[in-house]
Amino acid sequence: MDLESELREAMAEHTAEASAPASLAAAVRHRHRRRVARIRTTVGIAAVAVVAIAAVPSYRSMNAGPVSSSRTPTSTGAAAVPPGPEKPPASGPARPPHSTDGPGAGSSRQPTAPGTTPGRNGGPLPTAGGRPAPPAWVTYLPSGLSAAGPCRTERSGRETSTTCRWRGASGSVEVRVVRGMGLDGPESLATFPGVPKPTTVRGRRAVMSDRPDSGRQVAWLDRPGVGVLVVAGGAARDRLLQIAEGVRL
Amino acid sequence: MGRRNDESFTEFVVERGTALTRTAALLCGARQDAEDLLQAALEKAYRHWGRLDPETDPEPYVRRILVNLAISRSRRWKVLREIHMARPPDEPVASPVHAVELRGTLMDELRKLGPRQRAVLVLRFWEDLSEAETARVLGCSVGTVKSQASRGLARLRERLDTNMAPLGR
Repeated sequence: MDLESELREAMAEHTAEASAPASLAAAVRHRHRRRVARIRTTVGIAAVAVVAIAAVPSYRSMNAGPVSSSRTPTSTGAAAVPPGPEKPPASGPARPPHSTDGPGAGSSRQPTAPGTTPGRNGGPLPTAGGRPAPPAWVTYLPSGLSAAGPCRTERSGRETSTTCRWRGASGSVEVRVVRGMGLDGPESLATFPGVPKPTTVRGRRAVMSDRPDSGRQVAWLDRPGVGVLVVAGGAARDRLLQIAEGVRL
Repeated sequence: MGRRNDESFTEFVVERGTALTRTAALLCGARQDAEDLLQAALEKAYRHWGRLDPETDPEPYVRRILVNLAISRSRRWKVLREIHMARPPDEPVASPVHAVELRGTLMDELRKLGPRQRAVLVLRFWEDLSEAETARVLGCSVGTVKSQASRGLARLRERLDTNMAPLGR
């Protein structure tokens, strides 16, 4: 038996009825188009994903950039601030822009009303109930507080101060940010009855004292020319330092 | 010197489509698989059709794609079969009808060979390629083609003897 010949015969017999369909060339082209479309779709989706991944941080930095510069004091910054009820206080230029949005170390943001979001420019945004949310630079407040009104900015001589107040079941909180070249220490931000207790707020020298109205206050210079005074009353008094630590200018 | 165009691709497929379909059927065993295999091979060739030299025959190029695809698919399916099957598949029992039909048995045994060995036998005895041409298509040495063909034929002969022995052949 000649195996090779038999094999040839077997192959010929096996494939005798096989023939290419008339539409083979068209089917190949269709297959090619589908492949190209699939590749384009995949590349498109990948490109969109890459752009989205790249755009989110860019958008955040672009969005946060002007805020940072608007908070950066200039030599004439204090005088240039127009009087307005919702102007954010000055912020340090060395601080990254996003630090004003994130909670401070160990602190947690507790908005005064559910569903409220802080304004990225530091000013309070009106909530659904018409109450302003805390500005972005106040990253911690005890629960049960709601804004007593929009933050107020006042100018007095060479100083500009922005004051925000919250009241509620857990007491009251007032945060005041003062900008001015005349600040030479935390003691210059308020009157401290009795003997003020030295402390620190995020590593900066601060003074704390009880007030005659049973409240407690702490003041510190966030940087030269920018001071912060936080006053807490009621149950919030025990959280005074936490609130102070949460002030991120 | 011009470039190959869409029209020349259609002409090639019309002219050589049936021969390639038959080769594909022998390489992979099943008619449906053969059509899909050929379409995939032609699509690969179509991607680079414009760059092929119009003076040379594109069939060896397409055939090479076809053989390589058949071998790689066969290996992939073998792996998949091994993954899916908890126990080895039962050995097919040679039916008496097949046993008496030498050519049918030959084809059955050809399908059972490894993809590379099968490709060597198809190219050598169906396409009538020389050992050197077969080696070029498969991208291996002539010695490998010789040994693969020899082992493939020996295995076919051996299995054929086993299957045909009960029938006195």
